[in-house]
Amino acid sequence: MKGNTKYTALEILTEAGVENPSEVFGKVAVTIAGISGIVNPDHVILIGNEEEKAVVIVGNEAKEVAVEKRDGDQEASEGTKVVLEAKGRAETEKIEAREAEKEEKVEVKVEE
Amino acid sequence: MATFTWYLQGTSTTTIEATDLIQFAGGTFGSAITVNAYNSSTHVESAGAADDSSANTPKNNKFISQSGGTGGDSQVDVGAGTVDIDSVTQANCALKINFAHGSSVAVSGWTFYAYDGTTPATAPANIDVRAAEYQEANFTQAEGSGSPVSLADGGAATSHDRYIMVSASPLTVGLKTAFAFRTELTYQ
Repeated sequence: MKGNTKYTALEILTEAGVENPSEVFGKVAVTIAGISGIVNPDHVILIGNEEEKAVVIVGNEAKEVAVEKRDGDQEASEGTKVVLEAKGRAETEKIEAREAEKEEKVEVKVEE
Repeated sequence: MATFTWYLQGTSTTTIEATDLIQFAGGTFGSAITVNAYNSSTHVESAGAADDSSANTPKNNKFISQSGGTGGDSQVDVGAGTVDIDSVTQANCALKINFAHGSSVAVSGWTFYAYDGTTPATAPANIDVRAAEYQEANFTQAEGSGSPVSLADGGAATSHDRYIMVSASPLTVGLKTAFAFRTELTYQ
């Protein structure tokens, strides 16, 4: 893995060689690079540049993934980009719902 | 010891001190933004009302649309016309927030939002605030602790940087002072 890059939890477990990585979330404890309690494969984690390895603990099994130092702007993995697109669509839907609610209130006010 | 440091990015960065204000303005420091329009400039204002960022050519992120870009992406103007926000460079994000700790720590649950300056859950009145982390595809209407921008978690490190695009629009006439930003995280 490259440092200074955002990855999904699923990508990191895959890179660590965890068997059936998509099956473990929510079933056994997952800790990645010191972040415990990860239950979502889409959890986005920025792997920094300071450590030479990221420790992945799944249940009682610990694995290490080498981290290659990379300077420059932060990057996003392909999986992260997909997750951020989906997150963005959800945020837009929330805003549209709020705006629709406001418009409804205005209409009621006009009727009064 | 854990410390947060906020910066307004620019040709050079301006550190935003605890007593400073982030000023969203029209084209120049202190100029008004038209109601329902978004900031055309962003500045650091000192407690004495001086323009602390004047020498640093500060970055500005002007909200253009929530979903008018490619594939429904949000759009922003960072000074050279309208672009999708996921194409904005790290250096063009107006805000940089650094969290540092004396020992290597992981960070999670990191959020950023605007509030009324008193109660984190309360949105600032009569302001529309949009914010997004660098590389995100859409803005969040980040108003109140219930609707924050969720920033990426970070693996163990002594220093964690996050870059944020932020824009604001007055919905009514008048200076908006009951308006602050807040960031929260858990480290372990």
